[in-house]
Amino acid sequence: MTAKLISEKKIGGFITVLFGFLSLHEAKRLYPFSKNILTGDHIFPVFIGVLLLLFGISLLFEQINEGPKADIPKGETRFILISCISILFIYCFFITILGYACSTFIISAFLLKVIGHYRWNFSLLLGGVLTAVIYFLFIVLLKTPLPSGYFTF
Amino acid sequence: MESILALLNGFSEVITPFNLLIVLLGSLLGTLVGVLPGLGPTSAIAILLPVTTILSPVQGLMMMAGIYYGAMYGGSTTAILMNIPGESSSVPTTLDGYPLAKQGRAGAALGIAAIGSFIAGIIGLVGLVLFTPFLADQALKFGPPEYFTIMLLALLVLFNLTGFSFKKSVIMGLFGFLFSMVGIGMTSGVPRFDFGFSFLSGGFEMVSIIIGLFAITEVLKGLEEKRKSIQQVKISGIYPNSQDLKQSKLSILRGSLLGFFLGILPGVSATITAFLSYDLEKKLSKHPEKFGKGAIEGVAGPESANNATSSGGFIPLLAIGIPASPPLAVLLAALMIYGLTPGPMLFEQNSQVVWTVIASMFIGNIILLILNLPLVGLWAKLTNVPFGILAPIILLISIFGAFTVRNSMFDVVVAVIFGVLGYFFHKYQWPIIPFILCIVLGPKIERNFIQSLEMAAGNPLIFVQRPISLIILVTAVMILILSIILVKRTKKRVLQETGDQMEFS
Repeated sequence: MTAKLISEKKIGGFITVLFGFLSLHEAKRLYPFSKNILTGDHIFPVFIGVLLLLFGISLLFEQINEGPKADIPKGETRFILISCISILFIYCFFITILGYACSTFIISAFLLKVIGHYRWNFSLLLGGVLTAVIYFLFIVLLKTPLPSGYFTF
Repeated sequence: MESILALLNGFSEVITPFNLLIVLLGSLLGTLVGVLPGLGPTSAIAILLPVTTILSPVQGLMMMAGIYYGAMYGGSTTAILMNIPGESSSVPTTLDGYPLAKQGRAGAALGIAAIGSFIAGIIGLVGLVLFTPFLADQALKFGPPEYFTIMLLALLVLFNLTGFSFKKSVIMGLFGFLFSMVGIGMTSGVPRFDFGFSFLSGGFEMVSIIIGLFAITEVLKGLEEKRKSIQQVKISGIYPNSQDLKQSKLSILRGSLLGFFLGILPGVSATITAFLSYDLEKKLSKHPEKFGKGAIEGVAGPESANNATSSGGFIPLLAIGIPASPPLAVLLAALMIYGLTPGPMLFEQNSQVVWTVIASMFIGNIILLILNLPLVGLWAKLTNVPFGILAPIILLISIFGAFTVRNSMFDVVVAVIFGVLGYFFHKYQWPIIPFILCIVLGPKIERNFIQSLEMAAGNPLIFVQRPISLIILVTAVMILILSIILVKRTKKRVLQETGDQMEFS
């Protein structure tokens, strides 16, 4: 019963309805800036909002049948997945503070350790090589201004 | 005649040492990413797009085109050697390619796949040269109402193509539209959907979304599947013998023509033509019982159809600016990043660029045929690189790829978020293709809609009153019906062969 109430379709339908309302709300805000009712920045948000509401509601009330059965990963796999995603988010924050070189070295070593289960020595060595290769490709060749952080390198 | 002269001029531009190197690099890089299990042409183009930005627009586009067909070629290598179809369009190749590999004839299968892809690619390119200028010329007569109608209906047909629920496809498309609207409004100049946050007023960068949905998601999927390097079958003799060539020549020709002519129609994807070609070959064969056990025609036909359809897809992309598949949507994005707007005006304003890129495709196909057969062993060895090393490399390159487009950390965060979302979309079979197509086409559709209504003083009947627009509507309805029938058939075949539902490519 609970599974039927919180199926992926119901959750998807609910989120769709929410975004539908959001789109309509934005359309209402934009309407005063428009020249007339059909030509303006508000018109597409209206269409999209209405369609999202209609499809979202129809998904909410759709009969649950044998849909895709997705197994949410458990145990070690879940740990690896969550760790990887967290490492990537932490990296986005780290790189602005520590700069490219330090943060990439640390993060790539962690990724190698978590995903490949390599020993720390190997992870650190390969992390260093990866950092150098990416430095050459993106900073030397592509001249990308990657954040240098407090260490200015 | 004019097209041939322009093409010859294009060849003279391509045949310089540096440009040839660019084409070679593009083809090899594409194959390199394409042979990595799970990564297809879309991920290859998305990951490598930022790398091409140091080049001039022509060279960048030559490289992107090389990456595209290189990755297509690489996909067939994993399908034959490891029974892993990178995309649903490679499923028919696995049916006979892998049994052939197990019989010790991997070389013959790979060779026929390469030759078939080459011939189909060339047939597709000849069609591209002949049809694209004609279509672009006709498209010059289109105004905003015609463009709006054609794009909206093409999207409708493409929504039907995903292989998953139509309702979910439409919702994903609507989300794509919604995300494409974030940023500065096109008529008032007022920020939309920014909710007071300055980082949202610049809108979402489609390349970072694509990198997230295709590259980062693919790594997360690989982590879940505990992807390991697979010991693939041994390759002996990389060249097919004369008997193989004799058996395959008609299959290659049939597959190429079927793939190309059906591929021009929106709503007929490479998956559909590859399966149609496989079934056609089985039906025409004197030994249908050999199919599924290692019939070389079962590799030749679908591989040719797959490639011809992909080449056919360039026609609507270049002539009217409509991508028929996700890799072409990324290519469209690439064209726009380089300051080019695909459509009839492209041939008027940037004819030199277009013909040089088309000429580079001919040369790229030849390079792939010459180089990739001897390199098959090397490509096969690449698939042995442990996922534990590959995954961090893909993740880091994806992150820097997303950063490079606008030098913004916001784009990196967006790529990671969409990577996670893509993982759940895949898990619960919410198709991402409509989302990508709508993100790319959303602004164009909105602009044409508003312009049309401004032309008609707000009268929405303009979309059915103009004769060309009405013809497009009627044709689209017919194509939609054909597409529904073909998709139903292909869905059944994919389910039969893989026991699973797959998003069509």
